[in-house]
Amino acid sequence: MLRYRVWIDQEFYLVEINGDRIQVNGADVVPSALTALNEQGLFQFQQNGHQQEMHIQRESLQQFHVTIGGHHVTVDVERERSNGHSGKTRSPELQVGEVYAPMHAVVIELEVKEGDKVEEGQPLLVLEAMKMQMKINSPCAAAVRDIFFQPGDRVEKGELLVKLNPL
Amino acid sequence: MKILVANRGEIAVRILRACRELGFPSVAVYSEVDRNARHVRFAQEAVCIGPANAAESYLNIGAVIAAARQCGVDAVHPGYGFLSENEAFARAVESEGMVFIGPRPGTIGQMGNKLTARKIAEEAGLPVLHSLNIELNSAAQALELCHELPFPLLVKAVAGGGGRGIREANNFQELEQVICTASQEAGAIFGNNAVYIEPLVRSARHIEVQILGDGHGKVLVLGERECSIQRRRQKLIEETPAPNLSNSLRQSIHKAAWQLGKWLNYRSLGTVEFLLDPAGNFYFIEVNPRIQVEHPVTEMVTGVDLVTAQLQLAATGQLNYEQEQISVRGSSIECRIIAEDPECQFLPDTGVISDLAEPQGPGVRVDSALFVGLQVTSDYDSMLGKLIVWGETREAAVRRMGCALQEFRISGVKTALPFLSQIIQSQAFLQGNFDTNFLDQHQPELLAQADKVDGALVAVALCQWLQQYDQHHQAQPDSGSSRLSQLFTPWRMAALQEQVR
Repeated sequence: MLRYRVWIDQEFYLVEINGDRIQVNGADVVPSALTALNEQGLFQFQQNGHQQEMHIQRESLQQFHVTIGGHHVTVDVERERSNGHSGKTRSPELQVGEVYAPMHAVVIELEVKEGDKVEEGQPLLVLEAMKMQMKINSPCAAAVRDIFFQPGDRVEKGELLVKLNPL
Repeated sequence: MKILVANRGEIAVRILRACRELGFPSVAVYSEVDRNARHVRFAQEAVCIGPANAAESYLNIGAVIAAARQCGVDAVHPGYGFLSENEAFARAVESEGMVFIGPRPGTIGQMGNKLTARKIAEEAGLPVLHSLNIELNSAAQALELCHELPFPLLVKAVAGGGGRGIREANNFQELEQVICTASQEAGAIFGNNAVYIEPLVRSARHIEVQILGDGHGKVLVLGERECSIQRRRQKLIEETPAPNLSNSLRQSIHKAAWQLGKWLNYRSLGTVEFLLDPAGNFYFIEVNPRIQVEHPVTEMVTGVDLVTAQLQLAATGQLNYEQEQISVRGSSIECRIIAEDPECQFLPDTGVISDLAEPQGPGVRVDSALFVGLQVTSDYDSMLGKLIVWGETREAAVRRMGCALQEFRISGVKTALPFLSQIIQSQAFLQGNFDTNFLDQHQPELLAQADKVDGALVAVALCQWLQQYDQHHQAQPDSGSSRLSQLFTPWRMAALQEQVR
């Protein structure tokens, strides 16, 4: 039996494949019929009689970009080894107290400094991308432990911006 | 006539395509990150004008003029955004002895100052909102003066436009704060921190009129566009003719736009924007002295190629149309395809386009600069392209748009495609009874109704694929092939399904 741990956005799915039997989170599902349409990751995809197109792009060993029905999602997949352990452990929730860049952007302004106490929802810093400014707010009441960037710095999507000590 | 297009993205492609059709040699300009952009390949010549930062490239008057001089062009088309509403740029082009494809620099300057534009519109006999015709430079000054106006108020940048640098205030405390932020924002975006105040019209519609003048007194009206569906005061969906607009009101609005065009002795393309309140009163807001993002809907119903008309006017000094020849047939809608996530406050997304299928069929038009491999960066606007449809009736156009949106496939970045589908399919949109609050009112319910990704379905498909992939690689560890599709040729799938049975 093969077990895969799958994260799509914030949702978690446990997929178990045992011969011709497939289960998601413990419930039986009908296997999907995929047909490759080209060499670039485009598939025809049939489920419950509906034909759809699906595009799969492998980003890294465990990360995929999937486009289906106008939606574009990032999917993380870990295959559980035969001994029952996955290669890497990762909790479905983000680490509390770590604030990440939601997108590729430039740091415009820091609204706090290291050591400051902040309330939940209080702005930590301001990012700008595509002519739009956005405030990055604290997810919880906390003390600011580390700030990793200065105004003017470019940040990549998913980079750790600020570390907090939740109060 | 050799033409330099001082822009990027879909509008540069649009203009360069028209140059090709007319047999005009063309020059594209690009920033360092746009070296491989699609517009670069649409021109005979292309010149790099600086780094990614727009201030040093697409907004750099010296660099654009130098490129124009180097290539010996006869005319410059600014597109929209960037330098298109910059009076100094238009003057610099003309002082080089080249034609600026747009209004006279003086007109751009007058319309660029929103208070001057209001005064001129008033002189031309257009209705304007009662407001303080004073440039405000401090909150204290504003608080002293604004008791003359009832709340809610809008604070706008004097040098603003395009929906940027606008803030709402509902009371004195808010006003004080809003004037400060609006003023800072105006300074940062437009280089002029003066603001002014006008009353906020609740439940207003945004209606604009396309005008085309020859600069010698002839001004044509090419119908109106309804642009009320906006996010962050940025248009998302536009259409023409405006639904639920009586013929007499339509004609009054057209006439007002024409009057202003005549008053300005308008040259080239322009858009006169109006607010329409629920009682049927309309007010002048501003003039966009350039081609608009949403110009294709007008082209679809009038059959007039607006860019070609602009280029021919620049080349010959004449317009080939008379007002009597302009008629509107059917209905047209445009959706802006943006790389933003509506479920996440329209947060822009970036990435590489890994797969693309643009919709096709009768009455369907896509203006984009997309290609597989394009890197969507955060350096410029998040608009990837525009989907425009035409139908014999509004209902037909709405249905066609719904189908075309479903056909559109863009992989590599999150887009607003599912959300646009949801809007287009909604009763509220179909009825055509909406105002600029449409998204504020309907966004939560539209997002709630929007079909979500079936996560379990995607997870199963992906895991089935991975299982096949891993088996294949265990069997042939040295094959080195990481092509997904080789594992899923039709016969392999048939075999797999056979096993499943």
